[in-house]
Amino acid sequence: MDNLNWLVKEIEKLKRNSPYPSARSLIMPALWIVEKHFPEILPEHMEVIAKILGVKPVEVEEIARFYAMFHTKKKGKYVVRVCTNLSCMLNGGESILQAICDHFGVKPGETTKDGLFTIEEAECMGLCNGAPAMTVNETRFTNLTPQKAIAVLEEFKRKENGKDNPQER
Amino acid sequence: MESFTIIIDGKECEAFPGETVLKVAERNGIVIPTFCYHKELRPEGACRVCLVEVEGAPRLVTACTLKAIPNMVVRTNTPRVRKARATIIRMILNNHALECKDCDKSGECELQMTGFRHASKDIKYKEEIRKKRILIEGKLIAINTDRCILCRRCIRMCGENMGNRVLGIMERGYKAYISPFNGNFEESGCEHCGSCIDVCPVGSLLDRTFKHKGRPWKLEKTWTTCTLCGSGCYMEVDTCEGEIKRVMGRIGVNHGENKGYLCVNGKWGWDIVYSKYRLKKPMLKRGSGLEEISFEEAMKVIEDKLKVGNFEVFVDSSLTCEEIDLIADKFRTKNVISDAFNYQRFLEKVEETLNICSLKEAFDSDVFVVVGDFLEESNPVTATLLRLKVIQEHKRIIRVGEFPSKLDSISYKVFIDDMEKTLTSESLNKLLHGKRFSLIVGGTIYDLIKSEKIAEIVAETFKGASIHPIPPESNSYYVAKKFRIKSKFNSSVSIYFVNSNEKFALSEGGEFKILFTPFYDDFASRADLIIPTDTFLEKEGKIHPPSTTKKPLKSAVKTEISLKVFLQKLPVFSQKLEPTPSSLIIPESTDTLVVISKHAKGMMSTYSNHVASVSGRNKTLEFSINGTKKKILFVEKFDGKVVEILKSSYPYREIGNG
Ligand code: SF4
Ligand code: SF4
Ligand code: SF4
Ligand code: FES
Ligand code: FES
Repeated sequence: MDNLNWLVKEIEKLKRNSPYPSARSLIMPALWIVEKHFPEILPEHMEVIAKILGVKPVEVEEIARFYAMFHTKKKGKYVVRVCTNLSCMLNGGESILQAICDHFGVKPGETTKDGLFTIEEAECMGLCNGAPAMTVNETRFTNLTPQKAIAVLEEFKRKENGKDNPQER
Repeated sequence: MESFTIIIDGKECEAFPGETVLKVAERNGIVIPTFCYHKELRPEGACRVCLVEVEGAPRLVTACTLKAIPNMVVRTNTPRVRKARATIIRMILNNHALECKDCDKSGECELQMTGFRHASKDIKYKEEIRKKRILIEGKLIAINTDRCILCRRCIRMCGENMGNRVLGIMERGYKAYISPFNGNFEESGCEHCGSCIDVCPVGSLLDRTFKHKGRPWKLEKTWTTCTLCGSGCYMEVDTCEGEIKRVMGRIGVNHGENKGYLCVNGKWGWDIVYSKYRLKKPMLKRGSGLEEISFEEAMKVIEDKLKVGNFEVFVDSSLTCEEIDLIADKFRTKNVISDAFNYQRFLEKVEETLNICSLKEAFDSDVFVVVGDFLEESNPVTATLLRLKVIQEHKRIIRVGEFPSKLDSISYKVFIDDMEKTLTSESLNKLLHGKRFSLIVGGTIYDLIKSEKIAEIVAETFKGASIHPIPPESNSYYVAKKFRIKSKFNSSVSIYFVNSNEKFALSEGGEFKILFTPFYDDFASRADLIIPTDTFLEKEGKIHPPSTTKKPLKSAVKTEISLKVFLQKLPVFSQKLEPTPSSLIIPESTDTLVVISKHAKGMMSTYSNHVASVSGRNKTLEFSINGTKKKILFVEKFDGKVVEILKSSYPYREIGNG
């Protein structure tokens, strides 16, 4: 409930400082707040957004479930998006995805058991000049090889394990 | 408007500015197949089956969104068009469940019909069907997503026409499917108007109460009028072997005033015919209990009782004109009371200086001054029709009320303040200056303590204007015109003709109470003699709204029980006693208004299981309007408590802080 109150305040703030003429335009930024601060976007979050922005809850859910970057199912602390679109695919994107999945023992779309990584197959992220590319949350990694990609993720894991509570968000 | 000519398939067709090619073709008898287009909805161009060739245009264009321009040359039946159409249909069918043999829509499915006519006969599926296997089940509505063709008719209907936007599209690409928020109709604010089901071209959106109950081609259709409220909606009742299977509004086809729109009561309330509360035999009070007697015996009891004492009748204003005439004919008394009492008083006040007009006539103006609150509860479809006037014809609503309303978001101007103040205000006057406007009055207004005062103000301020006083019940107008209604009973024998028993419970009758009703419930048990009657779905007759034309009732199901027949057999009873003039003491206005929701209206949430399954609980709502606190008791279901509350304020619906 505390978290919901926090969200209410954040979205009200968003609405107050809106650069857009219509509150509808704020659905995406509002969802992004939830995406960044919660493990998943829940119906109660969407209801909060709908209420404050004066739209119907289904309009928020439609958007949350349309875009792959919004998670309505529980995600790991880091969302790893491996591009397999044209440029990346030609440069070995698919084998990077395969290697990562094998390494962590998950399938694309799944989360590692320790809750750290959600591995996803992504469409073009505009990083074609550095293909093959992947992102970990909002950090970009380009010109990858399977080994490099795994090393990047292992580094994240090592840093996390140094902390007391890796689940804390 | 100046018309011009366009050529479709070599034929010269008259077109008007702003019209689409599809509209022009339709009027000229040229058939262009459609899926996402619907007469009542904003065109969207989602399915592309209506593609046509336009001379000079490099690509095929969707006829449903293409505006006609002078000298346009359109071809709807070239090999190129036919091929494109067939491809579109093939792509739709590729991922369609094709389970016509057990789909309820089969036989009236637009995909079946258009597919048969326009698809190529040797469809070869290259890809495997992708099933979503998502079934969404609400209390009354289900969505079978594998049958959906994503035409978005339901979304436009619910969101734009109904203003509810319960439905949306989840996911994308071949995974996309229609759903209410969180997969739950009840929690998404669904009003169960059934409009989404009505416009769904396929068997995706379904009436759950009809699931596997019958095949469309076996159903017998009876067109009749719903008398559950004053909107008086025209609707199709489908029966099979004498039993009602469903009710359809047929939006876009229905020529009634309601254009096929219904509310939950009209769409699903038909199960009152089979309610467990239905009475079959007359019942007479003997000692502390009630005993079944025959109709002949009941008639005798009435004769005995009326011979000696003086009597009064309560006339329910949702009876048919024929029944009302018979009541007036057989029970010759001036002691008539009715639930149309408040309506009559309002009507008589405004009639003096204003023009009473039909809804249709009122709709001819450009601006509607809509006075009153909770129209969406008292007359749901009238509220919908007002909404459609704005979104489809760009007319203007000026709403005058004291509480927020669903109509506010589409109103040109909203006044939420003391209505007396608003009606005489300079700002309202300015808004109407030089405009063609009409007044449309209804909702809770008639039952306010200050109702008569408001009527006086209206009569004074808008002299000569046209007014449509929305009847709260289907035949309020007829009753109001026919009788001089009194407010209270004061004779020893009282005879009630009601369609729902709260009306009987609400007004205090004499020593011996005779009740004509279709239902037996706790309230009815207070009567001394109860005689069963028929429901509106079993009746023939007419109702009379404020209009020159009456609306017809046709019986969809046969029954042995008939109020009309019973009345015809009765002798004439007359009484000479003049009624004592009713001395209605007008109390002070209070701060709590009782709002009877559409579910509670006519006790539908008691008699209809369907309606009960989607109605909520009675609740008190608080509002702070312009600094003053106001309360509402929102009634979703009649119970003893609500009746007691209403009885203490009868005939008004305002209660003090007691
Ligand atoms: S029944 Fe009416 S309110 Fe409910 S989803 Fe369908 S159109 Fe919308
Ligand atoms: S449910 Fe019916 S009306 Fe709605 S998009 Fe699907 S096919 Fe069209
Ligand atoms: S609005 Fe009134 S008349 Fe129309 S369907 Fe509903 S109850 Fe019946
Ligand atoms: S194709 Fe991978 S980033 Fe563009
Ligand atoms: S009917 Fe024209 S695009 Fe669907």
